[in-house]
Amino acid sequence: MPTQALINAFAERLVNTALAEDRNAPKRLAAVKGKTFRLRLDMLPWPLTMTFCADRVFFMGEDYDAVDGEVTTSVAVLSTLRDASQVTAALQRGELQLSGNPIFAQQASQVLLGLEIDWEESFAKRIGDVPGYWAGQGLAWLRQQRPNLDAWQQWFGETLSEEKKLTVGQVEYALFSDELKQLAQRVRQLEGGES
Amino acid sequence: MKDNSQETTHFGYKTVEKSQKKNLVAGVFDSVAAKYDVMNDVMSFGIHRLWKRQTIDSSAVRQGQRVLDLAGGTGDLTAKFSRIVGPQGQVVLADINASMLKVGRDKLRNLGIVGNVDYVQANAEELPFPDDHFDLITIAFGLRNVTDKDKALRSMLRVLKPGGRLLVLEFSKPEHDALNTLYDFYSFNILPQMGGLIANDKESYQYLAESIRMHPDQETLKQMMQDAGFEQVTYQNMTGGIVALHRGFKF
Repeated sequence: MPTQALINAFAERLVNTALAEDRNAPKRLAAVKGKTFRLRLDMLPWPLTMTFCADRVFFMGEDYDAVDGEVTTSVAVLSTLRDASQVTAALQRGELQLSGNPIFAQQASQVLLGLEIDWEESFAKRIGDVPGYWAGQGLAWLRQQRPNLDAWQQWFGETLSEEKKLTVGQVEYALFSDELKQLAQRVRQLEGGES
Repeated sequence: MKDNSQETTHFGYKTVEKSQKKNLVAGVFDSVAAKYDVMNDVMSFGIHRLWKRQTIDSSAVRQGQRVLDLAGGTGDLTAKFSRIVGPQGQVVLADINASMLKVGRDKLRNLGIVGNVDYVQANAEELPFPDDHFDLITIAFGLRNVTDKDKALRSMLRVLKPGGRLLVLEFSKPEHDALNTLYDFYSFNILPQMGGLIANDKESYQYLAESIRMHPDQETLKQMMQDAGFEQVTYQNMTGGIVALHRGFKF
């Protein structure tokens, strides 16, 4: 328990500091205020349980049992929560399990996924305008050097489905679905013929 | 022959008249109130924050609910409950000690926590609230200072709504002998010295160490809660049983 509580306390401090720097955070928080969202990621030993307030997020432990919505998925699929159509596709592919209102799940995930911080302004408040400007520029340069996360996710997904054949691709999945529907139709016809 | 056990109680390791304990405990907390938060951090190495975090995790408290933070002292739990229950909810920070209540009120107001928090000076044995009033009652590090614990538990049951839960966070008995020995050494040798150094009050911290030893162990407190009428009573040891969180429901 203490390890989990300690990590939750650290995450809570980190996230709330970031939210305080994001001008649009109050709008996103208002949509989910008073509700609790639980995210189970395959790589984490315990779920992230977040209770939303008007100006902050509380990270609760797994014993907190008043949860309004829950998503179980992997890190690679996490970004699909941004887009409702992708959520549906991920649900159909079984890459994502959802309990509760899907709109709430999307709004809750947006609180963190939609973080936008003006680093220049944020640094300027703490270390002054000129050093803040240079620190902000340095951070922007570092972000440009960072590999594109979406591209990596796409590559990862394609490698698994197309090259390594560890999972099925979208076309194969669609073909399989069609074949399954045809089979179901034939079974129904046969049953109808027997009776 | 007069039955002395009905008239006396423990104040740390001392046996005192029941009528005296309230004033003696008040003296301790009047003395430590101003430095209470600092001392908690120093004495527990900050771990008390994690114990309280676990209490909130076990509360299932949600927006719009009514919470009683009994013996709430400087308002650590109230601060978080206030934000979770929101403007439609209510948190009552109750403490028998006016000095602690004042420190708590000042601290929470400085944090900008106003509107849904009420401050009530109240005796846990005779809670001044209607029947079936609260969704949740917490008492953190307070029950051991109450003179008549059984009466206090019955009083809490009365003001709790059916379906509501009581959480008792309190020092308890370490699970392992080695830890117990270490803990005893710390409590009776280091803790009063730190109390003397930081809060200039060695005696009060000597009392705190003694009162922890005189408090019922995990199983005894569980039985006391059941006897008072709580159902589905369970407890969770934390930090090797140095602290236990008891949970009971009213149905």
